Amino acid sequence: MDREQRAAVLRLAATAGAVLMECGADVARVEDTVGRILRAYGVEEPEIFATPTGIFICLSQEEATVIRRVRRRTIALDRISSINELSRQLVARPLDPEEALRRVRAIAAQPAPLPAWLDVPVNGLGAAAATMLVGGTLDGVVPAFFVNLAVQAGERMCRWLGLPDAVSDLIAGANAVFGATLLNRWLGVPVGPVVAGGIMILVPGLAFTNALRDAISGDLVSATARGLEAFVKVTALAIGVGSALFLVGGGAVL
Amino acid sequence: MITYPFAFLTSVAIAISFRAPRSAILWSGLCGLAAWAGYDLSRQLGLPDPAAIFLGALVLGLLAEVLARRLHHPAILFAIPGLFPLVPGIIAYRGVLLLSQNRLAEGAWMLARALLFAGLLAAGLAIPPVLFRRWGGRHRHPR
Repeated sequence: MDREQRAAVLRLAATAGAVLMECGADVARVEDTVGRILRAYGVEEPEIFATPTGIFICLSQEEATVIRRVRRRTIALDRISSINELSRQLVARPLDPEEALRRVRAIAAQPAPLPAWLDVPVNGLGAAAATMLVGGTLDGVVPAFFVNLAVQAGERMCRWLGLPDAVSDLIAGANAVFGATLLNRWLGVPVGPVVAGGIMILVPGLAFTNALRDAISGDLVSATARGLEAFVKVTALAIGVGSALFLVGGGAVL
Repeated sequence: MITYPFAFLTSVAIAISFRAPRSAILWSGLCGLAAWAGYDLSRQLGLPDPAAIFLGALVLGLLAEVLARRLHHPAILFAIPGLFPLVPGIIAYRGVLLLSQNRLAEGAWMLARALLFAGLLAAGLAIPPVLFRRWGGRHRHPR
């Protein structure tokens, strides 16, 4: 393999790995897919090290290395699925690496499968439904929907202002309490389950579970990083809720 | 029983907000329902909470693997939204909230519980892929 083609293949593999990581794939999958792409182009013995904040690929036989930083992480399942499918196609029939890279970039930019205006009501619906799962009763379902709308409004405003995630989580937690207290004074709905349901989407239960999944598969660096990320998030939320409870003078709401 | 449709709805909503492909959305809801049912039924059989969580995750993992092979998507497409009804986020949040209210013993207990549940979920999800890779039949479609 000549120098130019090797560089193109490395670029392709690194970009695919970075997109997977940005879309919320676990480390084992990222390393697996990057390795599969490299082997599809006949690269022997690649060393791949993926963490939630960056991917390192080294071709030990050819003395070539690439490092790709991953700066933001969300969850985009459609992109994980598309990259996965593309990597399988490449194994069956390797495309020109430049062409494959264009496809990866197209996947990274592909719009959501459902229209964007659905986001807000769907999140609200999720919060409303989750209220029942965290020990709420039927009279908490509709209030949780509206409390979640307040939470989302605060979140969007923070993102628009460019505040860090931890601050926006803090404000989201506080908003949930303000909304729930308002509805409690007005309609007498229970505060605890409504707050819990309203912030259900933000609470990093999934991040905790993914951290443990990485730990089980032996990716300890990633497990530690994700665990810490989850801890910062849950602390910010709880501090927001705690200080708002102090402000509205509510006691222990759980 | 009344919670079951809400588990379905939660997972569907999560699947949409996590941008699941259209063909996977309702199946993700089914995964959430299965996970919740596995958890709830085990609890009604008198099993302790941790065991019920583990069984729920196991059911979810098995269903996700089956769906992944049928629908040709990676299993995490179904596992992530399906996990949501069982995920211990609210427990962790309650733990930190208790800590912030100076109720240290209860808070630490809650956090330990959250960590335990997350570990059990991860363990339950880790088992089915291994089984399927071992005895999964002809077309192997790893995760």
